[in-house]
Amino acid sequence: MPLLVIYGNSYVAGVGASSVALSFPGRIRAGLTGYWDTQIVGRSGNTAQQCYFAMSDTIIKPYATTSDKWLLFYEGTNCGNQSTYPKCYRQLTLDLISAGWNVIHMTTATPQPGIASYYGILQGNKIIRNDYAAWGAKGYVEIANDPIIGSYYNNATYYPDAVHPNDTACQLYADLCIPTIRQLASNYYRGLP
Amino acid sequence: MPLLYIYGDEQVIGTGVSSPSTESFPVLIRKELAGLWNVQSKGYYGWGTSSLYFNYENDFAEYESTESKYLYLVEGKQDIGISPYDVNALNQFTRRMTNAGWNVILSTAYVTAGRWATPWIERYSIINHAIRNISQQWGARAYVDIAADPGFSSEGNPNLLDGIWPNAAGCQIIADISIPVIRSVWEADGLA
Repeated sequence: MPLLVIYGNSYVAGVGASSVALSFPGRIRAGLTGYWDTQIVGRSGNTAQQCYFAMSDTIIKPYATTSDKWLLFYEGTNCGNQSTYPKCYRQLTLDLISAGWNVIHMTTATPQPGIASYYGILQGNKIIRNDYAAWGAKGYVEIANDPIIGSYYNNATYYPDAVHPNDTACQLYADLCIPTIRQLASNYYRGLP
Repeated sequence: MPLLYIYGDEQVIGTGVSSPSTESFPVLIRKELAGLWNVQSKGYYGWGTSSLYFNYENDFAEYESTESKYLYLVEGKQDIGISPYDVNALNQFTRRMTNAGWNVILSTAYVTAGRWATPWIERYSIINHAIRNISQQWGARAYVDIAADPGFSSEGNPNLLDGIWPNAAGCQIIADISIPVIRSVWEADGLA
C-alpha cells in the first residue's frame, strides 16, 4: 500500500475545520482508505521555508525505508510576502525526490488584492504551474483558480475567519485533490482506484 | 576594503527605533568602523533564517569575487521564536555561507516580553545553546551573545519596543557588544 503524506501549514493541520477528520487532509484520508496509508503532518504558522527545514526530521527520516511514498504539499499562505518561497518549493521538491518521494503540489488560495502576499502568492502559483514538471514533481492540484474556494478574501461562506477553510470548503479541497492523486498514481499502481 | 555585511530580519532595518538612519545598530556599527571597512546591511521584515537561506542569489552572489567578506547574522524573531526546526535552518544557512567564502558571525536570540515570551523562551534556550556550543562545527567564526547581556537577559527590559524590537538604547547596546566580537575575528585574520 503506497504512503501519502499531506504536509504543510495550518490548513493541513485542520485549522478552520471542526475536526481533523473533517479537514481536507482528513477527508482525503477517508477517501483513500484501503488503498493508501495517509499521514497528515501540518503545523499552524509554518512557512514553506520552515517546512523545508523541518522535513528532514518530520518526513524524510521517519519514512526512509518506505518504498512507495507520495507527498502532497500545501503552503504559500504564510510566506506569500517572501520572494524566496518559489525557490524553496523547488528545493523542497528536489530534496524529496532525491529521498525517493513522489511530490504533488497545490496552488495556494489567495488573500485580498493589494497586499504583498497577494502578489507573491499569484507569482508563486504561476511558478508552480509552469515549473512543477521541471522540478520533477508529478503534478499539482489547482486550488487558486477554483471559483468557490480559490480565494479566501471576502469569502465568509467558506472561510469564516477570513483565512482558514471550514468543513464545507475542506470537502471541496478534498474533491479537487483526490482525483488528481488517483490520476497521477494510476500511472504507477495498476488497478488502484 | 574588507566587507562586513549585517544581515537579518527587521531588527537590521531599524524597526524599533524612531530614526533608523541614525539609531539602528547597523548604522552605529557602520559609523564606528567607517573608513576601514565596507559595512553594508540588509534586513527583511518578517523573514526567518529559513527564508533568508533561499536569498543567496539576490543578496550575496554579487560578492562572490570579494576576497575578504564577513557576514553578521541577526535574526530571532521569525524562525527562532516560532519554528522548532530553527537549528536546522541556522545550521544550513551557516554552512552554505561558509562554503561560499563568507566568515559568519552569529548572534544569540534574546528574551522578549509579553505575549511572545512564553513560547519563545524555551526555544531560544535551545537555539542559543547550539549557537554557543555547536555553531563552530557549522563553520561559524564567532557569535555575539546578545542574550547574555544584562540589557537583554530579562523579560520586560527597557531596551525593547513592544517587548520585541530593540529601541535606540537597545541598538546602542547591540552595537557596543557586537563591535569587539567582529574586531576579534578580524584580528585573528590579521585584518584589524
